[in-house]
Amino acid sequence: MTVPVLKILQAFFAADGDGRLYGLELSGSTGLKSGTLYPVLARLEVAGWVTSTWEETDPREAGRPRRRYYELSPLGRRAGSAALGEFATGSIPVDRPQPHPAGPAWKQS
Amino acid sequence: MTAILWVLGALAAGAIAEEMLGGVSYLCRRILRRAARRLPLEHRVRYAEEWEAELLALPGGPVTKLVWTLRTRGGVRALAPALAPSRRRIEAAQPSRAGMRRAELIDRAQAGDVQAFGDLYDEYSLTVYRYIYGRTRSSALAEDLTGETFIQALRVLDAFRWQDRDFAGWLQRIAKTLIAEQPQR
Repeated sequence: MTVPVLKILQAFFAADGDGRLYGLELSGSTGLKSGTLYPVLARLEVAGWVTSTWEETDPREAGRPRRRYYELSPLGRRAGSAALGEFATGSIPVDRPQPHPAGPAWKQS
Repeated sequence: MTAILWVLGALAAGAIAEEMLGGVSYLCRRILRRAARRLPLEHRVRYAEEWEAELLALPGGPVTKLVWTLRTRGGVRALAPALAPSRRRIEAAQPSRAGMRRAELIDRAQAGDVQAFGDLYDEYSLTVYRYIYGRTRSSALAEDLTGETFIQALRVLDAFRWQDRDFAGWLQRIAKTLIAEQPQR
């Protein structure tokens, strides 16, 4: 279990709403740079901890490419909360999802 | 790399105005698409689109965009192996997509599909040629025997069992026999 993986797991558990996050959001809440983020996400996806789906929008209508959203799979949720619990008991809101304190800069209006 | 640093420096110094943003976006998209091409085939389109969407959503000016792009590109070195664990492991664990395609080609060729056999020829002829050339040191002979190998393979294709997994090895054994049958010069 590497630090970037723990950070990403933490970000998913802290995510509000439907728990789906795209790359920039994850990058914003974990502080991971894009060169680290995508390889780690890919490893989590290959391992089945994370799944990803396209944003449900027609790129031609929206006039921009679709976003790729990531979320924890049930397996990732179980294994991830165990890993985080082991890592720092009590300090991480595992059961009660909390919005990220500040939120990524581009989401603040 | 020097050129990139120069561009970064110029951008940071404000020597290049915001009008450059369009140019930088174009450059970034090009870098990202090229980076995606270094990924395993089945992941290229996805990451190209994903990164382009991220690039568009990225707040900040041209420097931010370019730095983000270069970092993403740098990550490809770690991303590619994460998406495609080593070939050996894939073949041991599950047939890779290419492996499945080959298995399908062999099945179809065994059922008498000439087109599929042609595709197999395209895929394996160079390997066979190299093998024969390595043993005969004659390009003319290697060309002849490569053709012979495939003719022979077509004849006895039914004998090939995919459980053997190694179609190239099977072709190689045919070629080896053909080489041995050559009159000694």
